[in-house]
Amino acid sequence: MTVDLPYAGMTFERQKTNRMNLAIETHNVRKLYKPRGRPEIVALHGLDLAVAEGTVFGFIGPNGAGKTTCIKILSGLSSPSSGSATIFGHQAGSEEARACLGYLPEIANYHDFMSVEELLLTHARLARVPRAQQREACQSALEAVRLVDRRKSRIRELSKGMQQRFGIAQALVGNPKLLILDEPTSGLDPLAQKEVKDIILALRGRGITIFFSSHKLTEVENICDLICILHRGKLLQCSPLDRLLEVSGTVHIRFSGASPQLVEGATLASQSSEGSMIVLPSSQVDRQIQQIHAVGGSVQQVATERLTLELAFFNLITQAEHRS
Amino acid sequence: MKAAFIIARLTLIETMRRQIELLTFFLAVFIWILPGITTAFGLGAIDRIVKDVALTVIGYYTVALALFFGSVTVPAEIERKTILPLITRPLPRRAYLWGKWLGVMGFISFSIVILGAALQCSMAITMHVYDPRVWVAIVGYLTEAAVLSAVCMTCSTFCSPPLAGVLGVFVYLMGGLPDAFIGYFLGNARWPAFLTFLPTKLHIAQALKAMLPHFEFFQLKNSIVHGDPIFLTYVLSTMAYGVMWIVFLQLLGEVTFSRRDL
Ligand SMILES: Nc1ncnc2c1ncn2[C@@H]1O[C@H](COP(=O)(O)OP(=O)(O)OP(=O)(O)O)[C@@H](O)[C@H]1O
Ligand SMILES: [Mg+2]
Repeated sequence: MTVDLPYAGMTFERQKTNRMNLAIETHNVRKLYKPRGRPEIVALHGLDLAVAEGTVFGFIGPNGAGKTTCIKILSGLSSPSSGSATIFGHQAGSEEARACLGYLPEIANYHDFMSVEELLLTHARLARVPRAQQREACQSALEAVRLVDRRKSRIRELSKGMQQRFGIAQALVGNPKLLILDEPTSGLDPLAQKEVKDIILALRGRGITIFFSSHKLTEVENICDLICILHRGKLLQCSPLDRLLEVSGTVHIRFSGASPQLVEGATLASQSSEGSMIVLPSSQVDRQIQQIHAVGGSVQQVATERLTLELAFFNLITQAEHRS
Repeated sequence: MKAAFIIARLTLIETMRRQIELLTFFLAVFIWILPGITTAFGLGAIDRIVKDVALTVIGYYTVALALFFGSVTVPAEIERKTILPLITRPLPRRAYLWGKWLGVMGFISFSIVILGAALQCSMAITMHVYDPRVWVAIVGYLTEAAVLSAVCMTCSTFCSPPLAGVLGVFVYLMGGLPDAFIGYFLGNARWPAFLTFLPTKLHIAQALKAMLPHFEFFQLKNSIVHGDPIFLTYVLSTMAYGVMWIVFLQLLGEVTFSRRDL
């Protein structure tokens, strides 16, 4: 079964039909920071996002792109300067919206004088887990992050990676419909990174929507249904992985006939009597095909070379840097 | 409101686990030995002196606690970022502020009760005196601390902890100044000639004072030390006055805090 995921670039009408099961929707969200006595910073320039329920959404972008700013707006820690954001149809930041989500902050500090179990129980209470289920909820969250044997330790006695795992446990303890994780694997050893990845995959199996930012592109590539690349507060691309890799990849056009004029970015890779090959960026395909037809040639094959997410990311960011 | 109690509990546990109550125990020991010291100096009206000194110490201690915890508790949590996972839970920011205030007041109440008990016990043992009115003074101090910590906490939602503390001290001193004092020191002072169109400093000081909580209402110590009558209605009405200020200040704090980016 293929799941039709909404993404930026999809028509507004189609988004409207899917709106009922959108976990996250933002509309023209702008965020301006006005530090006193210094020039203002536009962290988000009119961000439009639509994330369907059950999606694992990867949010990537260079440092300072605005990922954390967006996440803070979604989790109600800061408010947009203009535009709107909703979580399951509730205004982001409202109690109803916060009741749906579990959040892992980017820079996570916890009440280090509390024990793991005590603090988790406190979070379960705040997350309105029914009293009878609080202990069970804590137990399963601790099991998920493999911290059961450290339940009596004070938070300050945990290593950095363990504290990060505790952070994931506290995000999970309220049994949220939406998990927002800001760089969940930062500071974790490779084994723990894999564990976090496995946790996310297991949660995906349970239909939980996961929105996470990361700088680890292979991890994003492996677990995300939908990937969004943010650059200087603007959305560069937001699409399923396959599409993203194709769109930002290189295209090979095999053709026969006279040599056409090469469009910008295209190179003639091989030339023979049976057919020639042009390599070019995907955005130029249509124009190049027109050029081939213009000199009476015929296109034999158009093939997309898939990139890794890392390469696609570099290409898109470099192009965006050039444009700006 | 349940969420506020959860936050209050967390705040109270924090102060306890950071062993701040040791300071209270240290003071309790001082109050405990106070009758002994006073008797050793052979001063007259010992019970009055003991009560006066002990209640003054307790008063300053509660003011210090209110100023310190009131201005630090919220900004410290924002600074350490421990607030982030809490405030993303489904609780209104109002509940968080009330929880913090309740936690601070929980600790101050605990401290002041320990000190009051130390005073009563030591007076009962060494001087065979038990004065239940000491508890009335303590209720006054508690109300004062409750208002003062609310002042500082409200200030701390829009300025740094040191500034919130300084503003707290200012409000406490200004709001507690007797009118006679203002009149004596400022009454004759005039603005420079070119500013004569402004009202006198006295009027400004009086107007400022009128807008601030009147901390002198909570000062029951002197009446208690000197055995003057204190009416229950007076105590109850000062408490109601305190509650009104606390609610007002918390609402004010909520306005700035709910807009704040964390
Ligand atoms: N509190 C703040 N005050 C002023 N500017 C801010 C503030 N927080 C973020 N910014 C600015 O907003 C922009 C986006 O920052 P943000 O933290 O959202 O980036 P990010 O994508 O999460 O980066 P990173 O990958 O490094 O975590 C940056 O230019 C940053 O300097
Ligand atoms: Mg970030």
